[in-house]
Amino acid sequence: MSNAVQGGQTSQQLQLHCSTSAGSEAWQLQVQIQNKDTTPWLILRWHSPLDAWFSEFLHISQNGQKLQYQGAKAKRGEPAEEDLLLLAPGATHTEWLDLTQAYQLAMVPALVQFSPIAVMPHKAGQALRWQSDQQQQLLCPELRLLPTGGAPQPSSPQTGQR
Amino acid sequence: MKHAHYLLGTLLVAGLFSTQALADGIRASLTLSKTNFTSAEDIKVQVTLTNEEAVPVRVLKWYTPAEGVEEALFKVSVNGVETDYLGAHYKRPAAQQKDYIQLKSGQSVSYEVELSSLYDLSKTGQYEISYHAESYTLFTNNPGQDKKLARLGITGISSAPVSFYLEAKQGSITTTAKPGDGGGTTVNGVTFTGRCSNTQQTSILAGLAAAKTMSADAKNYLTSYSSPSSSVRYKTWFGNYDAGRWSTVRGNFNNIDSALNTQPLTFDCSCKKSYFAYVYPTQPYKVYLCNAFWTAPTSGTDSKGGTIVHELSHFNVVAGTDDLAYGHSAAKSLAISNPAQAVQNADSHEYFAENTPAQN
Ligand SMILES: [Zn+2]
Repeated sequence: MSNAVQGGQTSQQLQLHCSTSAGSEAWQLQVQIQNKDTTPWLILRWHSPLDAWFSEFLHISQNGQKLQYQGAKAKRGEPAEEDLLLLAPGATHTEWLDLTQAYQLAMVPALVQFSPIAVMPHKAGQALRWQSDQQQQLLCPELRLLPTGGAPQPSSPQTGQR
Repeated sequence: MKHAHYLLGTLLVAGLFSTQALADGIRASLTLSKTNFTSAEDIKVQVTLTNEEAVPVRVLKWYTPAEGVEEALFKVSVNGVETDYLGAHYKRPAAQQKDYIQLKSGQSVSYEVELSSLYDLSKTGQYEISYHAESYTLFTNNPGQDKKLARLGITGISSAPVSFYLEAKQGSITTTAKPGDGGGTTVNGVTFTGRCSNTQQTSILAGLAAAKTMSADAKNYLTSYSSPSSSVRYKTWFGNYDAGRWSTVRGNFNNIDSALNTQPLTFDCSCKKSYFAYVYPTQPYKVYLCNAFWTAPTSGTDSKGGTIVHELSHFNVVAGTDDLAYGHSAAKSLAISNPAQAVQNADSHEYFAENTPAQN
């Protein structure tokens, strides 16, 4: 995950879009991945919101202090079909996260930052197979959450860079 | 005399002698491949269910091994004392049509069931097992049939007992059956939960022995290697030599080695995911083993021993590592591009410990 992006394309040119928003309940949030491309994409579930809670894919801080992750960490081999999500052209995938499943949050605002999500272009009709040399990174915008639920202000459009 | 015989015949038909000669309903029979087992072996019993009715019978799957054993379907005793069922008890919605299997008149179905993951077989002795499934809903959902079976007095499926002798593990063994967690068996300080079969327990112990060997080797290497700055083995997995990072890794292996040898370890076999294993870093010293673990070699690259080293390194009280790069080639790249992250990466520790192919 920490390796440099291979393939040369940055997320700004990606035709995938990640958006994040606060849920109405405290410490719940929504992540949406939208495929604006004309071709399908594969999303590697590992270390992404599609992997809750088998890896640490969030960086959450309160009062500037990083919270300890209390979910699981898994050792994996090569990505199998079940580790991939195929996102068709025009499709949107939505994940709901309940942060209390993996973090102990105090009753103060929290800043939630996301690890880049590994994605790969896919040719329709081909086998679902992960090729790390074609891997690119999808960035999701960070999010501020209030202990009462919701976000402090309407989130401004973000480029996904951080 | 004639009269008396006739009465006896009626009793048999009524199913009051429900073990062997049951002439109605579903007959169960058990077959064992042998009668002497050691605790290193799985204990497989073949269950055959036969419809002895003249009409088709529908049986609730939950009380058969059709989709694995999901209820206490057997009575198991050792030296005459009943043993605990360690498997699942499911809370279920009402049975539906799809939850039943149909057996035609005279039709048989057979299933193989592994018993050591389901029942407490930790004691040495003569075991006796019989099939015994009973439920009010076992045969219902069969228009006309339930009334008939009720009239015949058949509420369950039973078999005659079969028996075998089991030579259990040496050493101190305690068993605590807690509903829900699949119970737990502790052998010489190592606890198994989540229905670990005998062969699984044996391969975990072999993996644990390999983990101890490789972590001791890693610890000794990092403590006494004569010229750290020229260590190819270190450089491959943790990057350019740096005294501070070397001592971080040495501290990590001291802790891994100490945890392996002095802490109460628990291994859980309930995971069915494709992973090797996972842990909760805040919950030492329980390791959940998944599908890839069972096919891994005992030692060498991505082995059982190495996986155990990897998982122990995650515990915050041990080394608090992360998963920053998986696999040999990504871990090697990480060592070159970011040595500070490499010394935080779990697979880097595993590969250093596995040292395959061996480097000096
Ligand atoms: Zn890991």
